[in-house]
Amino acid sequence: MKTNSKLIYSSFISLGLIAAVMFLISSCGSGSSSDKNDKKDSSSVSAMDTSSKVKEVTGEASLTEADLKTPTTPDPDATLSLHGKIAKAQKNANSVFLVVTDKSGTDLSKALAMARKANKAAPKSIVAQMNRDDAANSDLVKLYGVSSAPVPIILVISPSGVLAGGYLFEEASADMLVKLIPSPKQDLVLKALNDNKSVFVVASKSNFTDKAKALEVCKAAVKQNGNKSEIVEFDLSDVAEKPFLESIGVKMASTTTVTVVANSKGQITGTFYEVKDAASLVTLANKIESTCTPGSCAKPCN
Amino acid sequence: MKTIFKLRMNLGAIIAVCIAAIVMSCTASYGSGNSNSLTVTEAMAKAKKDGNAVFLVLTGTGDTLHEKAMEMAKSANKLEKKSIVIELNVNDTANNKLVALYGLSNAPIPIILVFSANGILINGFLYSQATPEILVKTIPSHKQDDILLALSNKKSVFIVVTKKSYIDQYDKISRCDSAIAKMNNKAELVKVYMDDIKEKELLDLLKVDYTSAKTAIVVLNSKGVVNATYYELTNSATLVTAATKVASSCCSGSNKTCGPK
Repeated sequence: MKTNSKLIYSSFISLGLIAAVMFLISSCGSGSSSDKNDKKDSSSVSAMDTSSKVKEVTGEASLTEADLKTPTTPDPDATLSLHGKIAKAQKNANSVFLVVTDKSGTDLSKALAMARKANKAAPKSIVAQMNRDDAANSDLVKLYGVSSAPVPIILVISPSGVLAGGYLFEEASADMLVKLIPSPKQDLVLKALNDNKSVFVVASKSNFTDKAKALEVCKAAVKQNGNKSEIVEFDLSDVAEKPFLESIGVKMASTTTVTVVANSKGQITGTFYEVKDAASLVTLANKIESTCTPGSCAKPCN
Repeated sequence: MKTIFKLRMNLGAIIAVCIAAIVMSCTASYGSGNSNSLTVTEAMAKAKKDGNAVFLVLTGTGDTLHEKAMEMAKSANKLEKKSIVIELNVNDTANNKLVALYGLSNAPIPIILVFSANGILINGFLYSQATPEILVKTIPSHKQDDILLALSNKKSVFIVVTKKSYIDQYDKISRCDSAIAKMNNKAELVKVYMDDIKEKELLDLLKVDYTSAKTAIVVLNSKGVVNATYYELTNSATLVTAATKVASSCCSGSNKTCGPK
């Protein structure tokens, strides 16, 4: 792309200017790439690759006639309020497929059918329904931020009670909903972030000699940070956690303990394959990237 | 990085859009390549309608490399199916308006211009500088093109960077919609998915953290300057302020730049 920078022709002013712009853009692009932590960059690419390969069949098209049949088994929690159902699910370490609608109830039965299908594929889960226009649900509507979302939308609440994500019915499939259920350790990370805490992910194996030291440093960092951070330990050989670890850029073949720092916004601010000092970890835990107020982003003149 | 869209707007987008607009309105009479029966204007309009990028090959008297330039453009066309090749003879009197517009009368030819699917002139190359790969790489991504189009219409842009599963996108889009209404539609919302590999370059340029667990709103003013990036839910008034703020901290009237050191 650097050839773009050359002026095509001296009198060809407009085109030349555009070429110059393209060069500057390319330069900025390569500059930004080099600014980035390599590990972080590669993790992002990896995440993109996996998600862009398969085109899911979604919405009504993903449901069969059998899926759409009303279940004959009565809901054992039918008498519970929505709050009660969610609390019970959390107590039982179950995820919740929460079908959110409004008073119109458009496509409710189909969305419920999809949630039930997901429920069958994920035994440790329940299905619940929420009418966001019902005043009794106003706190949940606010908590999950669905006041302006198109409906029906199906949310996935993790076993720890944290909103793990969700899809519009038309963009969802049962399989996609199941995939949103976090792994046990990932759920702990989500819970910490939900509590506005930063996270030190410590991924290791039992025979790694640096594990104890890495944990010790993280504990010191948590203390230095006024307990506004959480440590979540991962076993690099735990296949259940592999997708999450890979999604945050951890090299599973590492022979040393990996420490990943995520700030309270969930941004990964550091990845280390050697033991760092506590002060550095605290700095990274409190680093917020790319946020600025209007006008403050301007760079100083070179 | 924050200045990329400013540069693009100041030096590129305004000029490019002006040129593109005139190209579109010009009644040039020579068209070939994939659109043999159409004039240049018609062929370009059709390309825009069909969402195709355009490789416009300029030729003229004494152009000994014309066939090679056409071959190169066609090779690029093979690499990028959503594109067409159009030929323009600068010596054809029917094209005088275009030639004058571009200042092409003494230009070394052949030159290959690249237009985006939205009809915006992105760049141009001498035959000696071009390769099919360079031509294809010049075509902006779909979302980048949408952003350029908004900027070319002198609008600010709210770029919502999210994933389909991120529920917080809806409240944030709603705030953006409110901001756009407050701005009398002088802004556009462009949604980009973090996991869309085709938009990786754009996201890198915007320095959006696509490992973020939250939807981000990147605010560009109408000059293309990145004024703010928000990961938290932000009220519409703040978004309007960010979208309308024109930073004047440096560079204006000087030879210095705001680029990264």
